[in-house]
Amino acid sequence: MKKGQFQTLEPVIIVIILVFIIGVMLMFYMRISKVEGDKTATTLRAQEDLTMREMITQLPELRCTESETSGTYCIDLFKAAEFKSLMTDDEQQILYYSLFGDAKITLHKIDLTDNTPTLSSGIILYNALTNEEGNINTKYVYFTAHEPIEDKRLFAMVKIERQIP
Amino acid sequence: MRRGQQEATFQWVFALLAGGVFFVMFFLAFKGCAETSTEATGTLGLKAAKEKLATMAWEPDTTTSMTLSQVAVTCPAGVITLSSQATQPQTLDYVPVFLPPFLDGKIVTVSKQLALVQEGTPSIPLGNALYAIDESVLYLVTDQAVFDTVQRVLGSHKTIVVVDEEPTSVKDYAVPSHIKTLVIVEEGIVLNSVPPQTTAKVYGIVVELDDVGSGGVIGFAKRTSAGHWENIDGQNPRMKYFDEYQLVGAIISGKKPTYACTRKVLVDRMRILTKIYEKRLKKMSGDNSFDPPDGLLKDCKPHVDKALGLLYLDGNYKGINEQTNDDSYLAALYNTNPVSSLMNYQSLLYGLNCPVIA
Repeated sequence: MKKGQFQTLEPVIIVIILVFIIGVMLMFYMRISKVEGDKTATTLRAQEDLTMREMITQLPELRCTESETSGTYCIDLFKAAEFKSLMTDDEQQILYYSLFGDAKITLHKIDLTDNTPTLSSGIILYNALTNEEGNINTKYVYFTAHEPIEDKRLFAMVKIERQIP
Repeated sequence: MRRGQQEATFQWVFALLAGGVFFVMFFLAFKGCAETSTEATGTLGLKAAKEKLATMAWEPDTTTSMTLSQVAVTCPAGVITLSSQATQPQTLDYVPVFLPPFLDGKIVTVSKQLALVQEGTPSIPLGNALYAIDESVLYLVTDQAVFDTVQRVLGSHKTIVVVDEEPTSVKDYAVPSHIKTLVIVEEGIVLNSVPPQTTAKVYGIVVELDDVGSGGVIGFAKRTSAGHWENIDGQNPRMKYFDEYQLVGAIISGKKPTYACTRKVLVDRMRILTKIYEKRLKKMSGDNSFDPPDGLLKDCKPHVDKALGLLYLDGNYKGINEQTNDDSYLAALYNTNPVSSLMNYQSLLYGLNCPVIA
């Protein structure tokens, strides 16, 4: 190619290079946006988990009385048993759907005074999972479980399974 | 440098500058798009607002704010619905949220735990309720006691003001015509004599306090275009409230159907709680057996049985949970008779170191 011809093509080459650079930069920018979006989604999911945990701890349907609650997460075992029996009725469970959504909440208790402490089979407090085989996010929260008659305190774990759309 | 070389250099410099300008323009355009979408989420859409309200209504003792644009709050089928012209209506099923008839702009929300309370005794929780105060609504309260109650429940808000109960002073409170106003008067002051000087949408509420102090009745009215007051709901614009939380809920709601909707949701939740307390007491009482269950002190049993009788059946007495309509249920629950109130047994059990009702 002669020098004159190259000089004529210079602006075309410049435009092509610029378009390429802009394209690369935009792709880079979009990728950063996507990563930020994913991060936001993860943060939101974590916030939802936290909110749900807070709600379970504050729900008077499950929470221990004020005299038992002194700064600890505490679930009253009698309340939990009655809540479970109420939630077997769909009309009652639907009242809590705006709170828990598509989730399953199970309470397991462990008697640490036992020589070989084992996890109990669990009380299903709420179950509105539409697809148990689907994409499930599982979290565990640890509580004190209180038995009011004998004033007995047990170690308890609440398993929260949430359906991810 | 020869002339040709100078031209070539200028061409490169020009091309780089033009490229830089193009790039900056593209970048700003993309950034602008992203910022616009962020701003759009600043004013909540109906679906987002519904979800936020539904979550907050279950978290006691929180205060926050959100912005909405021109939303009508209706109760078409026994549940509260948020609707605007632009989007699909959103129904707030089973969420105890006291909302004004219209929302527009900044909404301050206050969440409260409702409970039977007595000093020195663990309270009996009865659920949570959310109050949404539209800052574009001016609440004129003519009674200091009612104003103090509103402040105790909701805290201070610049749009809730107490004005002199003399009708002339309320008249003198010249409300600009674009401001929606709610006038709250105690019974004894004739609402017709206190319209603020405005042509804006004005609602009125008459508060009647019960003699025994366990609630009262609230009446709803609106100002017509002719400047007169008329009942919003025809022949029966009055509705009961049983504690200060319900009184404030009625004031926030402003209209009987909106108040009735939320109160129904609230009562449904209270019924679940008192049903749980009943079953719990039944277990503590030994499931109707004569002897106390293992572990329960002998002295506790009679008080546990009596508290259970209040919630369920005690001879011919129809307990709180046996009441069929909402008013009789609430009346039984908030019964202030010192011999029979639920809180009285809570106090007795607590004093004897027995397990309490809730």
